Amino acid sequence: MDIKMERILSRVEKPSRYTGGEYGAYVFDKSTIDTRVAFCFPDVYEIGMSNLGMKILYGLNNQVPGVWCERVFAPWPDMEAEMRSAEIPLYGLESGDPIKGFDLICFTLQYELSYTNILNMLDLAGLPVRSQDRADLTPIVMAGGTCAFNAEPLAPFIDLFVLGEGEEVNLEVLECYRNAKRDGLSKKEFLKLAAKIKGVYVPDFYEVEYHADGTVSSVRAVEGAPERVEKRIIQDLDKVYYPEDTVVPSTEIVHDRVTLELYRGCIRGCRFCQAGYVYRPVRTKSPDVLIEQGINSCMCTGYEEISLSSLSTSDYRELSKLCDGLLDWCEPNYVNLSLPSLRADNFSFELMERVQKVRKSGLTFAPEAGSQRLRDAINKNVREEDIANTCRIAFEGGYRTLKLYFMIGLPTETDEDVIEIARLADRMLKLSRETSKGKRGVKITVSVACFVPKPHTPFQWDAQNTIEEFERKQRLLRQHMPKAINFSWHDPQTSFLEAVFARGDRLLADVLEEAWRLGCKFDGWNEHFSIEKWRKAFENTQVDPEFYAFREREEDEVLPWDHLSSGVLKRHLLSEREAAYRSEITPDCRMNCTGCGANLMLDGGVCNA
Amino acid sequence: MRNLRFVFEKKGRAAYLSHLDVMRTFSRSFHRAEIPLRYTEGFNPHPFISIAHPLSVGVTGSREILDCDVLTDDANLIERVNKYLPEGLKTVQLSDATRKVNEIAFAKYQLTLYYDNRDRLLAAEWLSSLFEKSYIPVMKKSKRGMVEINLAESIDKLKIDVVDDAFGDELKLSVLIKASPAPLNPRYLIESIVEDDLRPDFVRYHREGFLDMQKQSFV
Ligand code: SF4
Repeated sequence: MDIKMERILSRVEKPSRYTGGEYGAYVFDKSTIDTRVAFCFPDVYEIGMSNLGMKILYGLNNQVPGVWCERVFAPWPDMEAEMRSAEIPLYGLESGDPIKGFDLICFTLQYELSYTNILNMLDLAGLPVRSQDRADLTPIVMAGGTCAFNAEPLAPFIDLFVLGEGEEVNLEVLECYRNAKRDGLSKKEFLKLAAKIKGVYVPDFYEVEYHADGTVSSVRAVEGAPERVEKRIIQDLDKVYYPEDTVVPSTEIVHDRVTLELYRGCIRGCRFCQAGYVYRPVRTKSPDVLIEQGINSCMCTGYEEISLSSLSTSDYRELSKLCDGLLDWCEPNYVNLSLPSLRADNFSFELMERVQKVRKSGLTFAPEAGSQRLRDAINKNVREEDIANTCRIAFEGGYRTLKLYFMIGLPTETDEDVIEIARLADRMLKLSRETSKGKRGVKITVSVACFVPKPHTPFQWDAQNTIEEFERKQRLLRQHMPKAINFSWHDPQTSFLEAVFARGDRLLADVLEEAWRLGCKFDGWNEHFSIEKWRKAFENTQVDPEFYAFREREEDEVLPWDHLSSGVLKRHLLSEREAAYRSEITPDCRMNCTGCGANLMLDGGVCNA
Repeated sequence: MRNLRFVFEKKGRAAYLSHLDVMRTFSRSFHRAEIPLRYTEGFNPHPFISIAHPLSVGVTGSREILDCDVLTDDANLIERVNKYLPEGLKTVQLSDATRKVNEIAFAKYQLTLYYDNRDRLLAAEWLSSLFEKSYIPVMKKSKRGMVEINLAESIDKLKIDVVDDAFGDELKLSVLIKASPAPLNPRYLIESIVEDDLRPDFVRYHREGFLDMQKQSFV
């Protein structure tokens, strides 16, 4: 380590974020490498290193001979200031080399509020933030992840996006790039070739026209790019690469454990949930493969915990078999198994008891809405009796904390629905007092988020509540919430900004750049988020954010992301929206396929939910 | 069951790991090497691992001590563990943990003081006389807030050397710091320097090892 860096590291918070050198990091002899890749996570190390997708793509790229993929995270502002004043450009953690000279710079888009960090990281790397100002083939800046399904606000900055699951398409783009480099192609020639790969979206090859009222009138593909970009999925999850020997951080991160993905997609169809729609259809991993990968991962990494993760873990058909198989190995080896996101039913609870014998960590449920009427409208298929029954058994069995997650501002919501959140919490409180007589009381936490309508969901046309409306509903809740409940709520300002960018178009790119120039970064972090700077950015660029957040779209309006396909038909989203307004539930994919269209992405065309 | 003492070095990029980071990293490398450990009984079992006088973040060490209960007779543990440790952590010696760590009487430190474009010779002279005093006041955080302590009571054999280096701006300060009643962070040495022009621009801290009452190496 050079003395300049040593001095800097002695002054910054959590210096091990910036050193690299962890066990299992890929380090190669540069003379064997012809392609350098930077995998960039636009948030701090502890967050980025907790992300399974990052570990998959990092591992996968490094399996390719001649390719070296390194990790890059957003430096915290104290480190950024040091780097800027010492003129140290953004570097890869493995080699310490500046990423400016790398071939591919790949960002993962997990949440809208990380967009300013992307611009900041490009700038810290010493690169122009706009694609048009980066003329050469090297580096190509690409991005993928959930937010790529509406990539428009980032369109002028990113050379190409990949839609959907990345395991195959990333390698195809990598190969396309290596050929282009070998053949001496220009950036544009490469992008034209890349745009032919299924799942690749080159925003520059789409011309967007607007109506006088600011809505999109048309999106036209040019340069031979496809009219609609279809997302990619992995057909057989049992065969896809899984990073058993992943890099193991030495310092503490948020999710510091082996993560097993039981399946992708979700059978439930909650109408507010973007992940539930854009990751369709459900594809399952077999328990035998998962058991083997779980055990091997623990042996390779030394982790003492395995977490089973998927959108709704209880829906995994062979959950019992999987847990038994893992526990057989875990128990004698002192490895813990954890099961987040279980449903409120007896089966799940018994399983949790069996798995987490020792640590009664507490119960967590996400009813999302207080009244059954609104839960039906959002298709959140959970009944209060189920929650109450599970809570009763749990409280009697010694559980001492209960966390309940809700949203306010959901379409069709009335004040009565809002107040019902407080009443539900109150009923759980009473229940806890009845069941835990003589014992220490149960601590109940109610956390209320502000609903953000997301693209590719049935609520993509709906208006978000205004900030005043959110604040009014929060006050209403506070009035009705029993004092004994620990009540917390989200800042509506950040949810507002998230809503603007979630359903934004290309005109927001100027706002984003202006906000970043005004100093916005780490917008997802309370201590850095500044609504004043953002307001200024909207003002300076004369863009009205309310147009994006608070406006209900016409159903025949061209949406900025209509040319990006998740595989789910717009027709289906509309019929789900109508059902929501009738407070009608839709059966889950296992009970009855409602023909969303995602099955057509499967070889064979039939979902096995 | 054996109670083993791993003598290890912590340097390079691993210097920035905290005490808990080092514990965690060793424990994981034992798992990776498939070395069976003895666990505590009870609700939340954890392996018996302890580190003597843990180093703070940013400080390197040549002969740090980690004691651990293992359930194997394998004689080759050094290689097995080292294969699974990250860059910067390395076991250099292994023995049974027979001596009690409370026999540690001193920690031997070497500090490198950087005086950027300043007269280090002058600084060396001043510092030598400063640290010879029998009363060196320094403020230390305690449970009762900031209290003044006498640094002179905690240090021994302090020596300042002017060595040849590339820029001619380094001083080497070697010192023994008493391990009891409470080991003092070597940063207090620098904090006790009140004169601005004697304060170095940067200091590198390195612990060479531990000594017993007779000032012999502890391990
Ligand atoms: S096609 Fe049918 S079963 Fe498949 S995801 Fe869509 S609704 Fe569910």
